[in-house]
Formats: sequence, structure tokens, C-alpha cells
Amino acid sequence: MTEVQLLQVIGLTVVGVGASLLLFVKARFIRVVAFVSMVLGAFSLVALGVPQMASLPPAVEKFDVASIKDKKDLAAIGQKIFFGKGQCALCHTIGSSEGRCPDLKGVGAKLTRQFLYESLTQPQAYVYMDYQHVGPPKFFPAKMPYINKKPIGLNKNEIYAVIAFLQSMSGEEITVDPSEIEAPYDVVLVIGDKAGGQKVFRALCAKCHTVGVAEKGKTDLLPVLGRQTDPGLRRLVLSEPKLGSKDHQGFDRKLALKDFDDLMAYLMDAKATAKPL
Amino acid sequence: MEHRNSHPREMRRSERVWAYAALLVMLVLVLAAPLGLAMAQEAPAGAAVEYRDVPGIGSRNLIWIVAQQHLLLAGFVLGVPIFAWVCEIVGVRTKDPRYDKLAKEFTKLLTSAYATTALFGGILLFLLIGLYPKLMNYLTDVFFPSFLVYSALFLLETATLYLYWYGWDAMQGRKKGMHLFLGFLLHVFALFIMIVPNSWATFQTSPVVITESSMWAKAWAATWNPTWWPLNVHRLIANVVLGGFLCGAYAGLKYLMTTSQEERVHYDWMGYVGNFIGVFGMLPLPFAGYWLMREVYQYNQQMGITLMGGFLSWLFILQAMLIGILFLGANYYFWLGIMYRIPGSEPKYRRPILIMLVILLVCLGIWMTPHSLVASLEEARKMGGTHHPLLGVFGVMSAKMTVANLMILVTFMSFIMYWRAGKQETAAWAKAAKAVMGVILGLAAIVIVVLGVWGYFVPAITRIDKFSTTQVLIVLFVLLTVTPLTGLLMKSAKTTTEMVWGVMPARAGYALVLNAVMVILLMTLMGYARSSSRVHWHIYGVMQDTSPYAYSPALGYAAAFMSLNTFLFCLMVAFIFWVASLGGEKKPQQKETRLPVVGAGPVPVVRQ
Repeated sequence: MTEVQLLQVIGLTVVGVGASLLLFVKARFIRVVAFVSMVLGAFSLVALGVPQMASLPPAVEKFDVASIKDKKDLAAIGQKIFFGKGQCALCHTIGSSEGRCPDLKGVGAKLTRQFLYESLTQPQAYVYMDYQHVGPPKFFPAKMPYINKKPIGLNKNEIYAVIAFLQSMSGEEITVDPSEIEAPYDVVLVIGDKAGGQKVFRALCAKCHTVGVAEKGKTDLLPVLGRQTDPGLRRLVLSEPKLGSKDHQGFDRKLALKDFDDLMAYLMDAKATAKPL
Repeated sequence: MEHRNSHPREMRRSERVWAYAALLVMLVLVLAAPLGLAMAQEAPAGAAVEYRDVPGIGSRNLIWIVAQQHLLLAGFVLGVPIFAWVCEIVGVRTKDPRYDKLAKEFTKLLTSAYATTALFGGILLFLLIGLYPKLMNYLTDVFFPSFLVYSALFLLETATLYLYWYGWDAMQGRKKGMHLFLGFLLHVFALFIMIVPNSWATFQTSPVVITESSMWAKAWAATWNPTWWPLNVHRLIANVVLGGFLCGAYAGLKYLMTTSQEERVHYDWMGYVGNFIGVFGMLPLPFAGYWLMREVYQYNQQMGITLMGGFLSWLFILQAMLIGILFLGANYYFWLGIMYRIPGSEPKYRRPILIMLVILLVCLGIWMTPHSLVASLEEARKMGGTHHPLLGVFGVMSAKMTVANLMILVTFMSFIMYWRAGKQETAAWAKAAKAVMGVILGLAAIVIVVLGVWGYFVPAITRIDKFSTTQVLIVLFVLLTVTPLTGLLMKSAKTTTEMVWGVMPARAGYALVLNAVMVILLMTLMGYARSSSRVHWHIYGVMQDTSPYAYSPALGYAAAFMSLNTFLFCLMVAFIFWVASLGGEKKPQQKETRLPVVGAGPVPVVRQ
């Protein structure tokens, strides 16, 4: 039984009990309580009859730098942000004058990349009222929000992608080069060999740690891996071990760079697949 | 046929059972919180805790119930005294002692109601500090000076309330002016007690940039946020409406239960006054709501769209339904009053009442028409989308604004009709005045409809800025011209048929109870809307909700909570009324004729 069905059953029961009390009980106070219960039950049933939409927090869109091969890819990501996280389409239209704010059709051709960037990040810096160049200057009551600040808060990469989309849909050459997209701090290319890493783990770490197995006296690393990003894990192993722990000291000298990369590859694979050894 | 239950003592007993039940529910709520918290998982000592949860019910749901009860009780303790004070003034002006008695009867409720409101306020504060420490830290940092102001206001309010209530009998006659002034002071403090916490709530919805400055400057900057005053005005009017309709519900209940003709007359009249003040407040309320929504849109379009066009859009269909039922209930009570209290009036008023009923139902139907329909794929294909080719026309704001204004006009006409019923104007200019009023009403209705239709063919901004505002101004113009004109006419009018009190049918009492339930439900519904408009933010755009409850539940689930909250509040109000009645219950010694309860038909008289 779904939550809605359960609530509907409760609502119907309340209405039914209320109706029975009204039919068979003579005491006025109880009759009034029954009447109120029936009204409230009926209200709930009506509310359960309309489309049930919950408002969930927006999914965090991944800006996968590795997937951007050319300018088209960048524009495609920009399009997703335009209609998604950026919420631009709530007010702006593309090719229709019905919107509350300026129509953005051809805006990529009319405005330079620098102007677009400024319009998104400092919208009040230059208010271009007469953007249509016809008729009297038009006033738009909706103030453009600072798109790089909360609640929308697009980062630089995302704003570049949106500009690429605006230029692309205007038939203009995209002036944002994928090389300008900065790799986020978290993005790390796994370059080690996980089979080699497993050997390193057994030799160095297995004395005190397991991965996904509960063993007395040993710490299961799987929950730790789940909480850590790759750079965080590197720091944890190499330079910032647990406070007071001497086990990790000198790892940066003991481990060859290749062994360390292999170990990372092995641990990151364990994290991704979350399977025990 | 009702036989035994007509005895007053037995009815009081049943009343007590329910009052005890309400007390028990409150105790369970109060006890459940600490028990739940004790079970909640705690962070290590010293670590910064952002959220705590309550197993089972969940922290958000618990806060929802307690905050809603506190808010409704606060509306009650702010609205009812305004209602009582207005009655006291009317009593002084008309020299009718019934109004003073009524005012005193309702002021008596305040002592117990205040304590209950403060109790829930305290529980809410402790729960917020315990369950949402991160948010409360931030709000305290911004608003601490206003916490101090709030405490000081409570002291002043309490002292004034004591003087006002305990000095009632001592300050009669020549000192009545002093007593009225105390009542005025009480409302000034009460107004500030309302608007100070409003600033905290509205800051969460429409925060402003807080720069580093003195704590007073910070608090003031945050207080003066864009939705603060619209909400203040909206809540003030809504509290008056709540006070009026709650008074009406109390009178309706008492009217249904009493067996004494004297009490029946009294409670019938009380129900009339309550309904009158409720309707009087209800007429400008949509305008205050419109202003609030305008400010929300101007502050952040995205938030406005979430409310009116996003996942909350269906909520406004439910709101239309509740307001529509409230309008119908209030009008129905007026119409029953004309039919029953003014003997021989039925033939004269049957036709206009029928016309008004049809207009109200048509308007309600249009108001409730959704913009897009819930349709199967096949149905959608046939319609060419989710917009019905005919009904879709009524689902837009232009139509809804038009019918809302028309419903206000019709309700106003009902009120004027009731006012004039059973009276004959004697002024020489009466005919001309009536013609002018008719023209004003007719023209207003035509212009409102014309603007409504025209609204389909102009850009949205023109409709919002010009047409809707004009419609609102037209209705206000009608209210402000026809009311004083009718008042002048009635001043010299002679009564042709005396009003007979205490003869209303049982359904009039139920209509009064229904109106109060609708108002409470509306308050819970719009509280959910206001809170959900922030979506996954504690403070919109400033502090994100990162708890597991960072979502707004669907309408069905929310409506179940609204119904629960309304029911709990009704029980609590019954408890407060009962507690207040303990001190001054009449014990009639002399034998009096006992009647059957209203609507029960002739029954044998039960004597003590």
C-alpha cells in the first residue's frame, strides 16, 4: 500500500466514523466534533486526489571535464544548465516574446562573450533597457539575479558553458575554448594499476586494515573511502594520518611513486565497486 | 428526536470529556518531544551539531505541529481581543450593554489562551534550539536585539492585559475611556508582538544582505526585508477574521447545545456579530494576499513561480475551494438570517438570494479550474495537450482575479441586503441614493468583467500591474462608498419588521462552525505554502537545508497534517473555552422553561 493509499484509507475512515456519529449519536457536542472530522477528512481526500508532487532538492549536476571533447560538448552541457540548475528558462525565452524577461534568441550574436559574462555575474552593472532597438525603451520588472551567487550559484565553468550554449544557439562561433575549463580540485586521473595496488595493500596496510570485511583489531576502510575524495585520501595516507597514529609516518619516503599510484588505483576501485576483498 | 441529552448538566459533562481529551493530546505532544529526543542519536560532546532528529515522528513533523499550534493560538490571542475591543467600542457608542457583556466574555478567554500560547511558544523555541541548532545560531546572531525587544513587549503586554481584564468592572462609567485606552495599548503591544517574529519568518523567505555592523543595525536591516510589511498586514487582517469566525463557531456550538431561550437569543446574536466581523475582515484579505504575492514576485520571480506555477500551483486550487466554501458559508448564514430572523421576508428575498447563489457557484467553479488537467495520455491527445479547450480558458489568473473580485462583491451585497432587510428608508434622498448604489455596483461588476476578459489579450505585466490593481481598487471603491451611504440611509430608516433572535435552524450553527474550520484550514494551508516556497533552503539563498528533510512533501501528505493540526487546535480552543467558563458558570436557581435543543423537534421538558 502506498503512502497516498494509506492516507486515503485514513481519510475515508474519518469521514465514515464522522457520518456514523452524525447518524446515530444525539449529543450535540459529539455531533459537532463528528461534523468537523468529516470536513477535515473530506478536505484531505480532495488534497490526495490532486497530482502529488513533492519538491526535492535539485540533483547536483556533475560537470564532467573529461567528457568535454570539443565546443559542441561544452554547448550541450550549457544547454542542460540553462534549463536546469541555472533556471534561466524560468524567466527567459528563446524565440518567443511571451516571457517575463528579454527573449534570448540571437543574444549570442548581439552581445560579446565579455558582455554576457558581465550580465550574468554583475547584472546591474549595465542595464540595457532598449535591447530590442525598436519603440520606446522597455522596462523589465524582474531583476536579473547574480547568477554566480546563491541561490543559483553557478561556478565559472558552468557560466562558460552557458555562454557557449547561447553562442551556439545563435548560430555564432563558440568563443569559449574547452581548454579554458578548469579541472575541479576533486578530479584526479587514476593512473595506477589496481592489481599492483592490491599487492601493496597486502604488504603494507593489511596488518591494520581491511576493505569491506569486519575483522577484530582491524579498521574497515570502506566507510572511510566512502567519505573521502581522492585528494583527501592521498593526504590521509601520506601526510595527514589520524592524529597520534605513527603507522603512516614516513610513507611518503617508503613508497615509490608508482606503488603509491597503484595503491590509490586499488582503493578507488574498491570505493567505486564497494565490494569486499 | 433527542430526549435525554437536552439536559445542560449532561452536555457540560460531554464537553468536559472532550476538553480532557484535548488536554491529553497536548500532554502527549509535550511528553513525546523529550522522549523522542532522548532516543535521538547524539554527536560527540563538543562537536558542532547541525541537526538532531526525533525517531518516529521526525524532527520536521514535530516542529510542524508545534509551530502550527503556536501560530494558530497566537492568531487567536491577537484576533479575539481585537474583536472584543471593537465590541466594547460599539457597546459604548450604541449604549447597548450586550456588546460590553460580549466583549468581557471574550476577554476572559485571554488569560488561559495566553498561557497556552506561551506554553507552545516555549516548547517551539526549545525544540528549534535542540533540533535545528545551526539555523538558530544564525538567526540569533542576526536577530538577537529583537529577541530582547520581544521579551520586553511580552512584559508590557502581560501587565496591560492584567489591568485591562481585572479592571473591567472597576473602570465602568466615567473611567470607561481609560479602559478603552488600555485596550488600545493592549493591541499596540500585541501588534508589535506579532510583527517582531514576523521579521524572523519573512527574513527566511526574503533575506537581505547583512553587512558587518552593530548588532542593532544588523537586526534592523534584516527586519526590514521585502515581505515583512505585506505579511504583517495580511496576518493582522487574518487574525481579525479568525477571531470573528471563532467567536461565531463558539456561538454556533452554544446555540446548538443550549435549552434556554434566553441563551439561545444571546448566542444567536453572538453568532451574527462573529460572522459579521469575520466577513468584514475577509473582504479586504484577498487584497493583502495579492500585495504579499506581488512582493514575493518582485523579490524573486523564481520563488513566485514555485508558488503559483510550480509544484505548489495545485495548492491554490485547494485554497480556492476553501475560500469558496467560506464565502458560501458566510453568505448562507446571512441568507438564513434574513429568512428566519425577519418574518415574512422570504418572498421578497428568495429570488435575489438564488441569483447570488448561482453567481457564487459559477465564480467558485471558475476559481477552482486548474490551468492544466490531470489527464490520461489518450485524454491529453484528444484535448491537444493537458489544457482543456474550454476549461483551460478559466484556468488562468485573469479569470481567477475576476471571479475573486465578483465573489467579494456578491458577499458585500449579501451583507448590505441583510443590513437593509426589515427596514424602510425615510430620507427624502433615499431613492436617489439607492439608484446611485445600484449604478455603482452594476458598473463595478461590468468593469471588473471587462478588465478580466481584456486581460487575456495584453502582456502579463500589463495585466498584473494595471488591470488586476484596477479591479482591486474598484472593489475597494464600492466598499468605501456603499457602506457609509447605506449607514446614512439606515440612520433615519424605520423598522418595519423587528428582528427575532433565537429562531435560527440548527444548520445555521453548523454553518458557523464550518466557517471557522475553513479559516483555520486556510491558515494551515498557506503556512505550508509560505514555508514550501523556500524549497530546500532554511534561509532562501543563504542557508541551505542539508537535513534529511530538505524537501517539501506532496499536497496529500501535507493536507493530512493540516487536518490534524486543525483538529488539535479546535480541541484546544474547546478546552480554553471550557476552562474560561469554569469561573463564571451560571447556576440558575429558579425554575425556567426548558426547550429542546435546536432542530430536535418537540420533546418533553426535563426539569431538575
